[in-house]
Amino acid sequence: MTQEAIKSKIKIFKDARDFQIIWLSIFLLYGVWFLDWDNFVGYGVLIGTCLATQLFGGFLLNIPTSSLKSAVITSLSLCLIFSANSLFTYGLCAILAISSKFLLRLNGKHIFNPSLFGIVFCLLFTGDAWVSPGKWGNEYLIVIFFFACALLVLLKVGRIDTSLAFLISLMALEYARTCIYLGDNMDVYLQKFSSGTILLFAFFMITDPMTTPKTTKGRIIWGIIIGALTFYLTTEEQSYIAPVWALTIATPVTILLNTIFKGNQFQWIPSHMNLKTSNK
Amino acid sequence: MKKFAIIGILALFTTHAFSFCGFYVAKADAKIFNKTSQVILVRDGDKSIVTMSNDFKGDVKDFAMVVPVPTVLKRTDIRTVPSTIFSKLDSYSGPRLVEYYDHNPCQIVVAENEVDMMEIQTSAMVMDSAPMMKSAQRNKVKIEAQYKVDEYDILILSAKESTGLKIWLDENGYKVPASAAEVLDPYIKNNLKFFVVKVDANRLGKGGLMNPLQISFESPKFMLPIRLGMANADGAQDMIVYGLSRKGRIECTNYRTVEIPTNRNVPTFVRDDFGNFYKDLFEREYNHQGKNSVFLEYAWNVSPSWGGVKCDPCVGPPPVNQDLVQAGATWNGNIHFTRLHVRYTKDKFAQDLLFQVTPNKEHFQGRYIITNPANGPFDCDEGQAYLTQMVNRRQRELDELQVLAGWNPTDRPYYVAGYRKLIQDGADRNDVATPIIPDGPGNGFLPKLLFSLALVGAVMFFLTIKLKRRLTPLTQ
Repeated sequence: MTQEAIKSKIKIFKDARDFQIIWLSIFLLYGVWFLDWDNFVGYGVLIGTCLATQLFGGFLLNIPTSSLKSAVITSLSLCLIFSANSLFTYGLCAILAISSKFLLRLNGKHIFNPSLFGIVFCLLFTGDAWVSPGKWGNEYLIVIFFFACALLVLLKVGRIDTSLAFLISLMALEYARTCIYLGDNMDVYLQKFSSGTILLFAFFMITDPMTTPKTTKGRIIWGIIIGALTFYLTTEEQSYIAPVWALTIATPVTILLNTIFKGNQFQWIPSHMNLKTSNK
Repeated sequence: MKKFAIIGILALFTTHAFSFCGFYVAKADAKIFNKTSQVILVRDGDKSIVTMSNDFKGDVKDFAMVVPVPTVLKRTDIRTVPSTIFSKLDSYSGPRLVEYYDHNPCQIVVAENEVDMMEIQTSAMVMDSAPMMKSAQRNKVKIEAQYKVDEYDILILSAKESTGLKIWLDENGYKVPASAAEVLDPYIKNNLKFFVVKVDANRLGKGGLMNPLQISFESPKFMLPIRLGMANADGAQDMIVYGLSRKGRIECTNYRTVEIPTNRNVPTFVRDDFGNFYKDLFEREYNHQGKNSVFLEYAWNVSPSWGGVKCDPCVGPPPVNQDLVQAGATWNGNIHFTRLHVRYTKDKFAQDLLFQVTPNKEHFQGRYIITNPANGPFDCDEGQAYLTQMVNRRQRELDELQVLAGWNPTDRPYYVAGYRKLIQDGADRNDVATPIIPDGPGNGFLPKLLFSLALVGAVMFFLTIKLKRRLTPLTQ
């Protein structure tokens, strides 16, 4: 009996993506109820198109349907970040995000973070898309909640190193500039990090295990590179979505880091469990 | 009932083509708020054109202004513009009250509508005066440029450190509050220059009024410095920003930009006091949104070349080409107008306001609706049904008023009871007819709920179904 119970417990949430789906949904619901996000049709199009693209691509390439969970995560991330005028742009973004996983591949692994690819492409080429970094407001309680939720996922996925490397390097650089060099007060400094946008990014986008370097060493270097780039783009180029551009620029670096530090490819479901279920 | 409503609206449409969606009866302009400053912010690529309203009321000798700017401005970058531009943009884009008329279902003739145009009472505006300036004396401060622009004497300063600048400003009669020094330092280190203005009384134009100053500069920084102004302010200050861009709405990137509640049905008596209604509404919304949000009050395509409706309904004439050029939007092509209203305090707005231009072209206006009842008698069956509907509607309007502005519905007992009395015994009181004017989006409770349920359902589905697994390498 006990064995059965343990087995079934393992089954639920043995996939870290389950946690991600839950947290991202909570964030979206929080936005809808407390921050007056009301673009329901847009969200519907994003989620629907992501799933449809994943099903279609999965069917063509004979990919297991469990990867639908990844599509759900991508679509929720897009709902939280992406804005556009026309529903067509929403659809396009979703299709590009998911199909980038199938089409832009190297060494059997997709190159870009799917949601990042969709967002950046639409920002650059459609002239109809934007990201509103201010839409999360500046509430410290939410930040703490965000932190806690994300921590659970990252401990599960084992990508907390990337997040910490990114956040620590960015916060240190920003502290050196705002508080030491500019002589500004702590309020200004804290407000810069109280936005949900940067935390969503830090905990959910740059930690995607499929597009981050395979080894801890690689990931720490990678996180620091993105943190430094974000700092540079924010302060020097006045970019309001610096982390998005930083991650885009840093994407090729992953490939480089993976050739330097060799490691095993990440799998969402540990392979021994995978074998068990498929043997059934 | 519906038929009559349609006839009514068509009649309005043919006689007043500009206002097919109701008449504007009152507006809430910037002047109802105390301590309000107004700024026109034009953004084209990396170019910013900032026009600052100047309704300083005291002795011009006491007037002085210090504005941090990203570059050393050239003489050609500075000019004055007529102050009428502000009142034009304000009256065009302010929150509006529109009214509709019901028609008596017991009468067949559609009555001619009479509409009173009302201006709300305006209260005097108080502008914070920056300290005044006496003479030019240098103290670790570099005067980068010095101009005379109409009635203004302008200096552009750069400084190496805040103490020197503070001493210089003090020596020259700018009474910089001690708390401002801590704000000056970050500006100096950020390589910002200081645009310092005083007025020469001898060069003042007719009536002794000062014109708004307009400055333009190229910089990737798209921001409004508000921190210096907060140093000597007690309590909250209001600022109205009129934004003009090529692409679409302007929004704040480091604070939340929130749409003000709109398209709400409010009781007819709001018409007599719309200014205070909006003031209370804004206050409530400001508190509700955590006192750290920027509010969108208006967004519209105002391109002269664009053939669409420029406002709906118009509370002031839409800006024409000349106004837009005056404001600094000198390009040909699309011009999008955004009106933002921010109430800021030192504790909630630690940073200056940073902005971005988005491609968001969706129109928006702060619009409140009153529906005037038909005149009796209501003897026929339709008339009785109309009364029932009206009683329900008026109750909803009172509820809405309490939600929006916090006005107590029990203060106006006759607003509903007066019509309830007219319902004859035996008439079906539960017969609620369709409202003539459909309710606006309101606070959108139902869509929120439906979306939430759908999302939760979908998530549960994905978490619980057994997805078919294969031995093929897993890809995300």
